[in-house]
Amino acid sequence: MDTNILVQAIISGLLMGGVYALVAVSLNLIFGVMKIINFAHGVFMMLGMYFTYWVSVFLGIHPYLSLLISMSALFVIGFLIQYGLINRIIEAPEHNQLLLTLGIALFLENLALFLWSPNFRMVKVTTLAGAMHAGDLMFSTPRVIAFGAALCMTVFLYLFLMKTSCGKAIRAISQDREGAHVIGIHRKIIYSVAFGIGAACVAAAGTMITPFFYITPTVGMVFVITAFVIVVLGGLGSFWGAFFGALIVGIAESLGEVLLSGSLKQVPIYSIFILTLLLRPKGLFGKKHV
Amino acid sequence: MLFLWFSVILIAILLPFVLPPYFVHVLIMILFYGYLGTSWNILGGYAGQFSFGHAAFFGIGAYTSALAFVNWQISPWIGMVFGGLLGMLLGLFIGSLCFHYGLRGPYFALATLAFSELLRLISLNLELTGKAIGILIPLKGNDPLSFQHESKIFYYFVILLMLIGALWVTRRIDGGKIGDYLSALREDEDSAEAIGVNTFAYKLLAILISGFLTALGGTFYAQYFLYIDPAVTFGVGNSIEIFLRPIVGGMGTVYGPIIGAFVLGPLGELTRGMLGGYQGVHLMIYGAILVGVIIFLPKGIYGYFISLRKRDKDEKLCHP
Amino acid sequence: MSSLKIENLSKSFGGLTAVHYVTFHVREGEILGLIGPNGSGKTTLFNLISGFLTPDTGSIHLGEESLLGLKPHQICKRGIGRTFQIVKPFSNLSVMRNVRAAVFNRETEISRANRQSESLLEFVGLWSKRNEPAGNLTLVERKRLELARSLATHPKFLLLDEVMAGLTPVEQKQMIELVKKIREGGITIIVIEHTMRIIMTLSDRILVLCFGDIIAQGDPRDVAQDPNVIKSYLGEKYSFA
Repeated sequence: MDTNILVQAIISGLLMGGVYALVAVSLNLIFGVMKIINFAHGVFMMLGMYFTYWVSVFLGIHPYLSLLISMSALFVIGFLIQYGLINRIIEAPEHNQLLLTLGIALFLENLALFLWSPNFRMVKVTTLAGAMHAGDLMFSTPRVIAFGAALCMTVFLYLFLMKTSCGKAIRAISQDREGAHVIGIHRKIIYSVAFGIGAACVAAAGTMITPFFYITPTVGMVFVITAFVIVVLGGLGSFWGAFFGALIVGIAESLGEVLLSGSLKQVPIYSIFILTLLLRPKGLFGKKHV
Repeated sequence: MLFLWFSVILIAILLPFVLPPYFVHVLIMILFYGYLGTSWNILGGYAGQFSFGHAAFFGIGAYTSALAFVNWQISPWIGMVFGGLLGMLLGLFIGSLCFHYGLRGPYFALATLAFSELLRLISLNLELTGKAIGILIPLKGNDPLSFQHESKIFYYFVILLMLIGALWVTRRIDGGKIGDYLSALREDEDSAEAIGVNTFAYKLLAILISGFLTALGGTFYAQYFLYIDPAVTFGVGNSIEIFLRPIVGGMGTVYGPIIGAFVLGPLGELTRGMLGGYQGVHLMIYGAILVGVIIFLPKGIYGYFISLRKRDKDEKLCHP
Repeated sequence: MSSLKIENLSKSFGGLTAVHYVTFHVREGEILGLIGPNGSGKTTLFNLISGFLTPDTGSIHLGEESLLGLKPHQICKRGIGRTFQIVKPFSNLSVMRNVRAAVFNRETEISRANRQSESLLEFVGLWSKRNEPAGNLTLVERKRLELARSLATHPKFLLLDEVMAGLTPVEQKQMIELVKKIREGGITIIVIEHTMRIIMTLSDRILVLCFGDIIAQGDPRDVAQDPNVIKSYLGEKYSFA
């Protein structure tokens, strides 16, 4: 096997891994704060992609310029979903919450199907398109930009959680629900903000990949399953676990694509998943055993 | 009470003969998903081990009988039994692995999902299973011994009998030691162990029974539609359709799944007609119902009625 | 005559030693009190004996038979029952079915199992609540349910983990009577309790644990006056029964 192809695959995987990182890290935020396994995460990404598509088509602008719009829209949607729906069952057993987010995902995904048909759509970009070259290796520019943007957002998210008072409130509540409640932090509002932020981040990931990813209502499902694998691999609740887990999974998927036949590229991902669950369920960097 | 049962049975027997074929089909689908939901319920409802990957058992059953028939002319009835046994073996494998390592709750759910996805990817890429094209079962016309008939009434009675069988199994479990043990380990595994329940063995028992029955359902599907492919058998959508009925109807109850099937079935058909077009739009309604049930009726429709009746009974005791 | 022999039992978690070379015997028919400050390893000891944890060193013998490596349900079958510090009823099952699940350990015939469950519920005073979902019970009722459940498995030894915690003085008195009745039925009991007063009332012998070590054992009065024990309980009030 040509080493060039391998190196190309690894770096490609790394680039996509950056995007996965943003998806995983935001999923992890929601889990870490509210102990909710958010099945609707993929759907949020899909909605972000569609928002970008429609804004880009109607205003005739570059998809990247719609970033703030898709993020804001999904922040609001996420906030409302948490506030209006998920908050009602915050005390319910875990699998009920999983089912609720699944129901929301089913509803939204098929609503999108109904409104916009399953037809694949694509955003056409002329600027910031093309490819970059480094020696014998070639990388599509939008993928590099997506990687960079996802990385920046991940760092912003981290700083937000660590430095801002809102972020600290979110972390306080995730570490000690009762205690934070006692000192007056409005739990329900914080949960909704956290959920909204999670949705906004994954919408951003969606926006960034529109130049090279087909847009269709079912695109979310694959991303959310991959995100779960990553979060479990990295360790539920661990920010950097999700980050590095994403890079690993991105590379594994890319190598799978090159070494096995195309559609089998997810086999390494699921295999990693099962092995992680069995051998090291708290993940690489996980804290407590859930 | 006996009269109620008698009339239900009478109606059930007469119905397919008086209804037009489309409605018989709807009824068959209701009974079919009620059957699958009942099978799932043994593991998910009674044992409390929520499976997100029951499509794995379904697909194993479907492909086993289909392949046996297409390649070696083995009657699908026999293929069905083999499929069921393979489903059991799969259950043994998945269960031993997952339960030995103590996977519970969402971890177990996601693990089962991973297994069913792996099977889907394998069948998508294997020559034997026809890759993406799947398997087309040759038309034999009126050949009950080959599990085929031109009239839907045949299939109606087959699935009705299967459903009755699954309900019978569930009732036996519900009323006795196995049911108590499964419910105990579902409620609190440590306490169950402390009172002598071999939780590993009983969880395994639940997945074996559930896997076996679900695989049989896969064969029925194959013989009814005469076509299977990786997506429709092993796909996540299938797993979701399977556990949706018990959740809406009431997990851990005997009749919950079939009640859920009677609620979701007609709704699905109605929306299919109204909203038309694309595959799966009825899932939008299902999603909304799921959200509604989880928030307002977490015990499911039947579960809610049971708790209402219990409350009435208690109130009658207090206010004679 | 079967006794429970624990020898050189140790258990550490990471760097923390919870139980440190603990050795003691439990004589048939006695009530052994286990006391010690928080974190002294009492519940860990129970978890080791009942099979929920595997010891790092040492042995546990029931009569001639070693209990090491057995799963909790197997240990239950051999005659050791336990309750949990935080009561865990089977909330969505009726009180009756909670007990019946335990009765099925020894009795497989359904109608006999039902009758045994009912008589056990009468014994602990829960018969009137038999059709209630266990999740609706008050704390003291839940504790009684735990007792009924563990009694259903016909234990020879019963490990009671802070069964008095959270009860009002009246409820505690009733519980003490219940425990004594259980012992009169021929069951050997090890009780973990926090309050000296209760332990003194109940126990024939006392074991004092501190940071995983047994620092005193023997007659309750002697133990209460042991300087080591007084030191470890400095600041805690206690009185003789």
